[in-house]
Amino acid sequence: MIVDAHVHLRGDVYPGDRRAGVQALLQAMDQAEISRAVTVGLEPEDNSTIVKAAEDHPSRLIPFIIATPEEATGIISERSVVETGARGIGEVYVRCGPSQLPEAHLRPVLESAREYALPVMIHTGDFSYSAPLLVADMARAFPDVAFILAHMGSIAFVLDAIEAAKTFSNIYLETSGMTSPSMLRRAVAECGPRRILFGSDYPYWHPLVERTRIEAARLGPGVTKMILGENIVCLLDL
Amino acid sequence: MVDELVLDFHTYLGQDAHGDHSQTVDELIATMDACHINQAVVAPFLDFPGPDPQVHRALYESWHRFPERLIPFARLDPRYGRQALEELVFTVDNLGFKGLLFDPASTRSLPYHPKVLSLMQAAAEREIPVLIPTGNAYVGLPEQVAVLAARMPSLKIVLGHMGTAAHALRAIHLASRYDNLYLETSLQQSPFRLPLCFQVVDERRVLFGSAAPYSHPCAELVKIQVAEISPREKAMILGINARALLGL
Repeated sequence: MIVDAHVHLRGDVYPGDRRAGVQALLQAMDQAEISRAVTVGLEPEDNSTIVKAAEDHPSRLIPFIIATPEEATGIISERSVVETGARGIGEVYVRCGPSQLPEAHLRPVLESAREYALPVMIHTGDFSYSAPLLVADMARAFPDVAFILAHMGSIAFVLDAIEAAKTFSNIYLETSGMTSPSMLRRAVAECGPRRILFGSDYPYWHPLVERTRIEAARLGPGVTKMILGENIVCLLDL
Repeated sequence: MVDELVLDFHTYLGQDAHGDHSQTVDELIATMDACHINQAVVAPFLDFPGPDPQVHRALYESWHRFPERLIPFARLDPRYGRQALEELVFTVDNLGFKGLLFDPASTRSLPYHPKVLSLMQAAAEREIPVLIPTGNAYVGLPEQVAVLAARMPSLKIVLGHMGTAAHALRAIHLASRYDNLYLETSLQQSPFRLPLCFQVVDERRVLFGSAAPYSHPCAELVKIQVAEISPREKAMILGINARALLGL
C-alpha cells in the first residue's frame, strides 16, 4: 500500500490555477496508484474542509489539523481531536521573526502535540525560518513529539535535515521536492530507513513525479516499500 | 512519449567540492539510456579556475568518447577575469565547446556585476548560450539574471531550474518580458506550472533539463509527461527548442 504523507486540498501554483479540491486530489492519487494520503492545511480555516473530506473518504484521506500558536489551545483539544479524527498537526510554517526563538514561538502548538500524542509536520527548505536545524531545538525540548520535516530541507538544506534526523530520533524526513537520489540514499544510510516518509505536496507537485523519485533512487524493494507507505502507517498507527 | 529526440539541457560530470554529488560519464550515459534521452548538455561540477584545473580537459575527453550524446559547456568563474576569459576562448574556439555555465552561487557573483559582463560579452560574441542556475541563493535570483538579460539583449540566457519552486512564477513572468531568457525545467518540481509557461512565454523558450545527478532524469521526464500541455509542446520542450538554441 502506497501512502502519501503530504497533500493539500487547496493551493495553487499560479493565480487562477483551479485544480485543487478533493476530486482532483483523488484523481492524482489514482494516477500514481496511491491508496491513502495525509491531508494537511496551511491555515486554521483549512481544518473544516480537511475534516469533511476525510469523513467523506475515510479509506483514502487521513486528516491533520493546523493551528497558529495563538489559537493552539482553542483548536487542539481532547474533544476536537476525537471529533475531527485528526492524526497530526501541520503543515506548520515557522513565522517567529527575528525577536523570538522558533521553539518558544511554537511552544503552544508543541505542547498540544505532546498532550494529544500528535506528530507535527513543519515546512522546511526555504530561507531563514524554515531551515531544518531550527527544528532540532524543538526536537530536543520535546523528545516525545514526532517532528516531520516536510521536504526534508529540499535540495538546498537536505544535509542539514539529515544531520537533524541523525541527532534526534524523533525527527522524520518527508521527501516531497527533495530531488537528489544520492541524498535520499545518504539519508537512508545515515538515519536508517524507518524515518523517511514519501510525500508529494500535491497540488503543488505531482504524486507520480515524486513517487518516481523514490523508485529511481535504487534503494532496494524493502526500503522503497517502507518509505512509500509502511513508515507513515507505523508512525500514525493506521 | 513522443518520437522526437530528447535533449537534456542541464547535467553535470565529475564530482562536487566535497564529493556529496558525483557522476561519471558512464553513469550519465547509462542513465540517459534508461530514460531514453538522446543527448545532454554537460558541464563540470566545479568552476574553472578552481580546485581541479583539469575539469575542461576531463569534459573534453568524455565528449570525445560520446560525441553524439554529449554537448559540452565550459564552466567559468568570472572573478578570475582574464584567466576565465582565456579559458572561454580556449574551450569554445579551440576545443569546440557549445556553451557556458555560469553559477552565481558557486562563484558568489551577481550576474549583472560589471566584472561579470566581459565574460558574458565574450559569450554573446560567440553566439553561445549561457546556462545560469537560479534558485534559493542570495545570488542567483531570477530578477538578478533578468538585469543581465536587459543589459545584454544579444546574449541568450537559460534560467537553470527556472528559479526552482520558490521563484518559478517570477522566472516565468520575467521570461515573458525578455526575449533572450529561456526557461529550463529541472528542480522546479511542479508540472502544473508548465502550461503557464506556454501561456505567457514564447513557446520556443522552454527547455527540458534534469540537473542530473541533483535529480533523476526519469523523474524529471515524468513531470513533462503528466503536464497538461499538447504533444507538440512536449516535443518542443524535450528537444526541438534546445536543438534550435544550440544550432544543431
